[in-house]
Order: sequence, then C-alpha cells, then structure tokens
Amino acid sequence: MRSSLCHHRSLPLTRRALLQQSAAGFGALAFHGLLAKDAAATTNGPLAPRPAPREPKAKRVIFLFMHGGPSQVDLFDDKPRLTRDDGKPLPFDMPRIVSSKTGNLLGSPFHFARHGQSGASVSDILPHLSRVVDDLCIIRSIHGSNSRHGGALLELHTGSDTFPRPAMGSWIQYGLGTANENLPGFLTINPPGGHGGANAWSSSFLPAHYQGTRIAKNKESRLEIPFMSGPAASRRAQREELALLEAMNRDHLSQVGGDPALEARLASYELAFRMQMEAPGVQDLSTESASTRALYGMDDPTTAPFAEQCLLARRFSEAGVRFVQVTHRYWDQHSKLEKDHRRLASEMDRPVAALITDLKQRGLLDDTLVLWGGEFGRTPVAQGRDGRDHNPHGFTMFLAGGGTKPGIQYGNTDEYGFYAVENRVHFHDLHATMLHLLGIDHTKLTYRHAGRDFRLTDVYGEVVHDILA
Amino acid sequence: MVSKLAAVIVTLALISVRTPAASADGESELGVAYFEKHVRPLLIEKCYQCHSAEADAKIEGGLRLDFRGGWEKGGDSGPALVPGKVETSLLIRAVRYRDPDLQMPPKKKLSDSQIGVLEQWVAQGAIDPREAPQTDHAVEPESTGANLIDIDEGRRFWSFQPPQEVEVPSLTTHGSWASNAIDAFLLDHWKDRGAAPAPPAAPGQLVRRLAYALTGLPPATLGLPLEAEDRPDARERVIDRLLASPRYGERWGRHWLDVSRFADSNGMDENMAYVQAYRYRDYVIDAFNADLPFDRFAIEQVAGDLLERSTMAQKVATGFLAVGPKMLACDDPQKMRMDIVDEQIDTTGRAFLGMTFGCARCHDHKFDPVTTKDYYGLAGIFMSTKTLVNYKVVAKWHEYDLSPPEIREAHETIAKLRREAEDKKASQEARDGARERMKALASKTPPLTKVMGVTENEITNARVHLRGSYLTLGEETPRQVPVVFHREPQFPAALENQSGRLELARWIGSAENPLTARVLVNRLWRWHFGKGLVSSTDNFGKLGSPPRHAPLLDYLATELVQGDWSIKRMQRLLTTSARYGLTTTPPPGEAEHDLEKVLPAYQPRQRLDAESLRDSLLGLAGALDLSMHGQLLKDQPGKYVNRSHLDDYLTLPRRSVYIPIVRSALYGAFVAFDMADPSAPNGDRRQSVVAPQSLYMMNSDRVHQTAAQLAERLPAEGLREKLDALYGRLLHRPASEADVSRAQAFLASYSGEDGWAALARAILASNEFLYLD
Repeated sequence: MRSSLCHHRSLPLTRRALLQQSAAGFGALAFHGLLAKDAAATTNGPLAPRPAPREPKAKRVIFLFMHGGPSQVDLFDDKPRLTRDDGKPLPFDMPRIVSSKTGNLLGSPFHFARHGQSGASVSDILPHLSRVVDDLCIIRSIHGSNSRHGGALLELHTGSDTFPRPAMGSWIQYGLGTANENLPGFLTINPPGGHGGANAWSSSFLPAHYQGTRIAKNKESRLEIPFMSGPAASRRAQREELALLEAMNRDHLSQVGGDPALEARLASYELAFRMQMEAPGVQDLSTESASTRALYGMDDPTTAPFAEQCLLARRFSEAGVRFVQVTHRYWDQHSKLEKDHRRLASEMDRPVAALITDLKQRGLLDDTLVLWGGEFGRTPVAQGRDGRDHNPHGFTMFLAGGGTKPGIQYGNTDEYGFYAVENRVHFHDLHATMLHLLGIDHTKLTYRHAGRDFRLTDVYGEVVHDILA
Repeated sequence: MVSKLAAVIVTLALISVRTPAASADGESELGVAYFEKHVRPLLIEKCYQCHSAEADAKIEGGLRLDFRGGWEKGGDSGPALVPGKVETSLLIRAVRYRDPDLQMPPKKKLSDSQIGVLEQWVAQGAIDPREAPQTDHAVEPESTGANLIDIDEGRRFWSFQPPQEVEVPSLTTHGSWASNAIDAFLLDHWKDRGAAPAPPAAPGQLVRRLAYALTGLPPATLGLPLEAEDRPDARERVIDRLLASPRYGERWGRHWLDVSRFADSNGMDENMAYVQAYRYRDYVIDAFNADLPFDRFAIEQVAGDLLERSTMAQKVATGFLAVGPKMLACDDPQKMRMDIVDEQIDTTGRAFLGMTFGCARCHDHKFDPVTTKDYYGLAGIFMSTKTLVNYKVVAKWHEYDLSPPEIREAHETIAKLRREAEDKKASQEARDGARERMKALASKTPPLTKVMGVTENEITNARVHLRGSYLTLGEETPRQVPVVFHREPQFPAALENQSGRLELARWIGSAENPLTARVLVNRLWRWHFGKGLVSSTDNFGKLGSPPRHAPLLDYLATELVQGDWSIKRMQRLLTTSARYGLTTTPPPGEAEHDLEKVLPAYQPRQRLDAESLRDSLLGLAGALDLSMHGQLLKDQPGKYVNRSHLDDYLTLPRRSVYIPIVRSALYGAFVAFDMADPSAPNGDRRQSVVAPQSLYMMNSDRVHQTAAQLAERLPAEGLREKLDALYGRLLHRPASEADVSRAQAFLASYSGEDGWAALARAILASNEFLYLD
C-alpha cells in the first residue's frame, strides 16, 4: 500500500489533481514549497514554477496562545513611570477607538527585576520564565488593529480582522507540507470555541488538506484527535475489515479502469490506519521520565492542565507536526487583575519555561520556533478600580528558538506602555517574520481565490530582520 | 555651538516670522537656513523612503514631502501641515505618536528633539525653498477613477457581451445517439478532437446517479425499485418523479445555500444566534420545489421587501443579504458598517453575476473593468439599506415583526402584566394576580412572527474610500451599477428617494443582463456534470476561466430565459441528454486530454457530499426523519448560540439541510467531507480525499450504527438473499459472484463479533458507495 501511494505521487498530475485526489489528507504532498501555483484557483492559468524557498531556520512552530490578552505592563514591559504616576491622568490622548471607559494610570501591583545575562526585566509572577530569559526574544512593540477579542484573535491567527481567511497554520502547511504524514500537520489543542472559534484553525479557501485538527477532550476526558478511535472491536478485526475493503476497492478499480481519486482513497485508508497506530503513542505522556514530568509541573494540580498541553505540544512537534497550537485562558482581566493574573501566571509560567528548557535540552529549540502571546495587551490605565481594558496598540509577545536572536528585548512602548513607539511590529510583520524563518517569502506564498491572490500578510508585512539570529 | 546657533535662529524666527508671505528677505534667509540645517536632513532620513519620488513602490498616502507643493497639497488626508499652526498640523500629530491611526514614521517614533525641530519649523511658518521637480510622474496619488481602466475595452470581454445567437447543430445529422441539442453540440466538439463518447452507464447506476443528483438520497431510501422499467422513457419517468419529490428542493436548496453562504449565526466574534434565519433556508427549499423562476428568485432575494404588496415570503427572501457573517462586536461602528456593506456587495456580485466586486474596495480592480468609484456606487445602495438597527457592541440586526395584530397586542399585554407583577409598590395580592394572568395569557399566546431581512435605510450616496479607509474620503459617487454595465439592461440614471436596491435586483434579474443566466446555467452544469462549462463558477471575470464551449453556454443561457427561467426545465434538458447517461470510465485516450480546457466524453465520477453521506447513513439505517422545514436551533432570540448543543443537533435524525449551521463551530465530519464554509459564497465544492474521511468511515458512531442496523434488518435466511439485500440497499445492484465468494470467505474468518456489520461497514466505506459511477 505504501508503494501505491508512492506510485500515485509519480503520476503526471497537475498540482490541482494532487490536491484534490491525494491520499495525503494531512498534507503528505511534501511539495517542498511552492512548486507551482494551485490550479484549483488559477483554473486555466499556467502552472508557473516558483523560486525555491530559502534555507529554513525553523522547521516547525509551537504557538502558545494566551487567550484574553495578558497585560504587558504586568509581565514583561517594566514601566517605572507607570508605577510612579499611579492614579494620575494619562498625559496624552486615548486611542480614537476604545472598548470601554477607562480612568487614570494604574501602576502594576507586581515587582519587576532584571534577569539573566540579557538583563531582561520580568515581573515577579513569572519566576520560571525569568530563568530562561536568555533564550527568549522578547518583542515589546507588537501591535494589532482591533480592540475586540473576535477581531483581534482573527487578525492574530489569520492576518485579517474583517473576514475569515486561512489560519497561519494552514498557510504554513500549504507552503511546506508535513514532515510526518501519519499525523495531522496542523494541530490545535483545546482552542477557544468562541471569539471566532474554528476560524482560527480553518483552512478557509485553502484546500481541506490544510485544515487544522482540533484536539479536545473525548468522552473519557482524554485529549484526542477526532475519530482516531471508535467502537471497532479489536485492532485485528479492524485490520481484517480493512483488508476486505481493500479487496472490494481493488475489484471496483479494475472494473472501472483506474481513477486517481479512487486510488488515492485506497491509500487514504492505509494512512488512516497508520495514524491510528501512531497517534496514541505520541499522545501517551506516561512514557515521559519522572524528571521531565516534574519539570513541566505535571504533578502539581495548578500547573498540570497546561503542563499536559505543553508536553503534548513538544511530543507532537518532535513527531513531525508542523504547527502545534496550545491555548491558555483566560487573560481578560477587566477587574481583579492582580488576583487573576497571579493565578494565570502560576498555571502558565512553569510549563512554558519547561517547554523552552526541554526543547533546548533535546536540541529541538534550534529549529523549533516558539511563539507566546495573546490577541492584544492591556491598557496602562485602569478599568474600574483594579482592571485593565483591551489594548491592541502596544504589547508584548515573545519568540524563542527557530532562528530568532536569543536574549534580546526588541522594540518599546511609550513611557506608560500604551502605544508601541519604537521598532513597531504589527501582526503582519510577525507573520512575515515567522514565514521567513520557515524559509518562505511571505509575498510569494499566495493562493488565488475570488479574483485575486491572497496572502497571510494581505498587502502588508515586513520581515523584522533585527530579531533574526 | 550648533545647538546654540539653532536656538538663536529659532528665537529669531519665533519673534519675527508670523506670516511667511510677509517675511522680509533676511528673515526668510534665516528660515531657509534652519530648514536646510535641520529639517531637510530629517525629512530625507525619516520620510523620503515612502513620501518622495524615491519611494520604493508607491507614494504612501499620496503624500510627498520632497518639495513644498507636496505637503501643501497633502495626501489622502488633506494638507500635511498648516504653516504657523503646530497643533492642527497633521504632520505634527503623526510624529507625536499620540493618535493610533496616524503615527509616523511607522516603525519608530522620532526622538523628542527631532519632533521639536518639526514643531519649530511649522511654528515659524514652515519655510521651504524646495520647488517641484521638473519631471514628475508621481505627484498624483493612486488612481481612484476610471482613467486607468479602459471601459470600452472592458466591455468587449466575453462575459459582458450579451449571449450570442447560436445555431443549434441539427439533431438529425447526429444519428440516433443524440437525445437533445446538448449532445449535438458535444458530438461536434468531440469530433474536432477525434473523441467518441463513452458507452452508456448501466440502468441501475444511472438511477443511483440521478437519485443522488436530484435528491441527495439513495434509491432505496426513496423507494425506487431495483429493476429499472423496461420502456424507452424510463429515464424521463425517473427524472420527473425525482423532480417532483420534496426531497429535490432539500437537495437543490442546499446548493443555493452554499452560494448564499447561509448559516444560523453571525460567527465572527460574539456568536449570536440568527434564530429567524431558518425561514430563509425554508424559503430557498420551497422556491426550488415550486420551481420559482430564477429571475423572480433573484429579485426577491435582493429586494423582495420592496416589491409591490410584498409578501412575508418575499421579505424572508431578503435574508439573503442579512444572514452573512458579520462582526457584531466591533468598537469601530463605521468599520462595522462598511464591512457589512462589503460583504453584501461581494456576495451579491459572486452569487448572481460571478463578479468579484469586493476587489475594488481599496483600489481599482486589478483585472476587471471595475473602479473604486463603481464599487462605492454599489456601496451607496447597500448603505441605503438597513441591515443592522444599531452598531453597538453587540449590534442588533433588523427584523420585521409580521405577527397578527391580536398576537402583538397579547404580547404587549403580557409585558404590561409582567411589569405589574414586578411592581414593588403594588400590593402582594395585586402582584400575584398580575402574575397569574400573565402566565395564563402567555401559555396560550404563540410567539411573535419575526423575520430576519433588510429594509430601506436613510438614503445616502457613498464617498470613495481611498485605500478602503473611511478616514480618507474622496468624491461622492451616485448609487449605480458599474459603468462597464451601462448599456442593456438600463439601470436608472438618477435615483431619488430609494436606495436603488430594487433597481439593482431588477437589473440582475433582467433577461438582458449578460451574466445572470450564464452564471446560473453554468452552476447547474457544474452540479450535474462535476465541472462548470466555465470552471470558475463564481468568477466570470478576467481571472476566471474562459468557457470551454461558449456557444453551448450561450445556448443554455438563452434556453433558460426563454423557458421562463425555469430551473427544473433546464435540469430536465441536462439530465435527459445522452451525455449525462454515459459511464464514468473514460473511453481510450480521453483521460489524457486537458479537461480544464475541453469537455469530457464521459461522466466524471462524483463523490457523495457531506450531507448526502450523512442522510444516506440515516436513511439506510431506517432512521431518517423526512419531516420538512422548521427551527432546530435551541437558542433564544437575542442570545448567543450555545455550542454545547452542536453534538445534539448532529444526532437529530433530520436531513442535514435542516441541521443548524453555527459559523465558526462547524461539524468536523462535514468539514472533512468538504462542506462549504459559510463564510463566503461557494458554487464549486471540492471533492477531496483526505485521511479524516477515512477515519470517519472507520470509527464514527454514525457509520457503526448504520452498519449494525443494516446487519440487523437483513433477511433471516440465505447468504445470497442477505447479500442481495445488502448490495441492493447500498449500491442499488444485486451482489455479484465475486461479491458472494469474498463475503463468504470474510464471514468465515472474521475474528470480530458481528461479521455482517463489519461487511456492511466495508461496503459503506468502499469507493463504489462513496462515489457515483
């Protein structure tokens, strides 16, 4: 059966035919980037060859999504003047568009200290991340365009806050294919159901091959890829059933005289069976050593839930999944910021630091790009007594590994942490940079749809060369 | 030393320069010196990259800062600065970085001293000795008009020309093979490339093909007999029976719901339940069942509310414009409004005309003769249409209340009684009494009849939004269809107290419109033959595909219009053609042809779509509930959709077309089988082969339940009898000898418990079941 897949690949099919007919449900077409324009969109257009992508620094991405909007001025963006001027009015204009009414400046309730050789100033609610700052490339000047969760989340994940577009994981799959066809190439673990939900992992107008696969708790409360197990009796019985199916399909194929789609489906069952064999092993965390489990905080009820996801992310990454997203929620502190940010940080801090450390120890950090951040940051001015409103105008995300400069802090917000003012990095720039690290020119990764060539970065985006190692 | 000198100059300037025109030569010289020393280097270093003739690509914002006239004229946002007026100068606002919409330079704020230089320069009158360059091509900002697009040339494009009169090849010269004109056209087409048609499909295969094509259900579920009738008009009789079945409207309504990107929630952010959207879905199903002429269907969907004595159904029809994806929680109401208008323009253009007008929102269309001015001509029509009643967070959409007066009154009374029951000032007795009466009345009062649809709004023309932004407005544009279409049919030159939506609808539904009928017959062709005559079904512009057979397309379009836009009549023509009845096996040599360009001489094999598969599994399990219409969404008006109900919806035994579609929370099994994403019109679903499909067929509860049911309902005795029953139900044919011996061997050796269920599962998962031969 493997050979039939290989044989199938060698058929002189157009890329469109490949996309439509390949068994490579999860992108087994390792068309190392951009060989030809997808004819499904260009219709009669020429299958124009594309320049080979540059040598990639990163081979895979782990996106640690902090849903809700963590506050930059309470985590990574130390603003002494904000503390000093606590309670005073903001001395400059508010944005033209705001979500809610806010009051005067609100100093951070947390204390900052410098860490590592890089001397990055980090809040004391992130003790574990403080220890790995020399591995982080902290960008303090991220900005987006939308001040609501739905729009901002969509823009972060797809580059558009207006209409659904393919998710960045889908674009990356489209550009690079998968490194392990026995697993989906784009996984999202426990993603938000609201605020645009599936739009954040949808392939949209890209072919279904690039659709993200959501991993959620199954009936037994285990995180599982959908339909990866069923009521089938034993593996042996299922194998017998699949052998019968194969005989039927071969018989049919010989009667109708060949059809690439039919051949592809034969291979697709074989692939599905192999996925079934491989995925449970990848998802089985019991094989991890006690020290690794302890490193992530698997034994502590506070950290265990997110530790499980981070550990899974590493295992999927290691097994060749191109884009893994995990989500930690819900950083939306319109009130009680001190209490809830403290709690959220305690859940997230250790597992994320452990992931960085673990990847590094395994030699995976060099070609794995880790991205941490939310859909926006928060205002330095108070909402109510003890909260902060949404702020897309200047906030912090960090990258690690994958060809980024370690131990730097890039960009700045103003003296209170409201607007990004120096080396500003828009989501589009972030996307462009991510694709660049993966060896893809963001202006060339296009897909023709509804009369024009779409890109993850629309008509925007510049690679942030300053943060490249 | 330098700074000291600068300070002197500044001081002098502040004292003496009030109005630059009046400045004496000496003062002016000092001003020029200041400019040369401080301002020019700063502009060159920080601004020229984007705002001068040296700009890499285009002049950003249309603003040039490399000569005086550049900033005097300014860019899209107006003059860049006002000499002497620091606080009102845009340039200063931009460099101060306090306005998130206007921050320059974009990457990095200037230092305080650099900002100071510019402030001083403006304060002292912005003396600038730089004249306009001699040869200057880049002074004009990007075009917003038709000057770059040649409309006359554009009009000559094939799809903007009226369908051509075509001579139908004579049937008699094509022997007995041809059934109708389609066959005659195709025989000539094939002859040109030396192809001969494939043989006809077996009668049973053809019945299965027709059953799925016209109703989305297997013959067994429809009660079609295994034995085909032995008479010359057997096919016609099956087609007529299927077209008359209410299942037909459910199947073909679903095709149109793909095009009209139907869903039961807005789905973008705050996911609100469109509790009335189901009425639009039911309207579409009924329209297909009743064979509502397509011109009427189009007009009602765009402007049914504006027709004389508009009926409830016609108001429901405008759900077409209302049920799209929307951000309902946006802090920027103007953006929200324009995004909704854009979505409506895009959907209307693609659904009826195969035009991607949305491309002209920010700049003239790169490929088609549509300018931004044309776009905002259409935008005016939709801005003058009320879709939302407010733009709050979360916004509310417009609904009609079409309840009978007595029911509306009853609801008012209930509300009044509720207030009385909660009135703290009233006695306990009075409150209890009010509560009792309220409960009694509420229990016998039906809900209000609300309809989700659009209505007229305050009439307004749109102004061109430069680069799509409402912050930079250009000229006002009258409400119009694009200039390229200003011939037949006529769109009124001037609109007064109406949005123009009814006129737009009539223009779309006009027999003279060059696109509407072509786009529709092409979709019908696509849905029956697997690929359109124009393979880009939703794009008839320059980037779309040219028709593979223009005379055939024009013949069909003309036939449609002459046949009173009857869809069923057109489908009868398509499905009774000899071409439709061919096998799916390409004749020798045929498979190598570039079928993007030519029409195949066989029937391309089509896969069951997501809904047909699910409905078949339910039907074959004997569990399909064929009741029609109605609301399955459990959510209350004005509430969010509750995603936790999704799994329950999917277990309902109703046809898939009735299962609520919650945007941004689609059903995994449907997505795996290429269900159309309801975020945009889609007339050409993919038919992919992906591993999740296989996993679904192997492991889903639905497949296992159906297989178990099938196994249970087999005849009690006889291997042959059992297999014939199973193959008959699933594949509409008796079991072959090979099937029997294979099944026998399998049942004898199977290590699991229920061999017959496993056998049924294997057939369900087989290509012969999943595809239509």
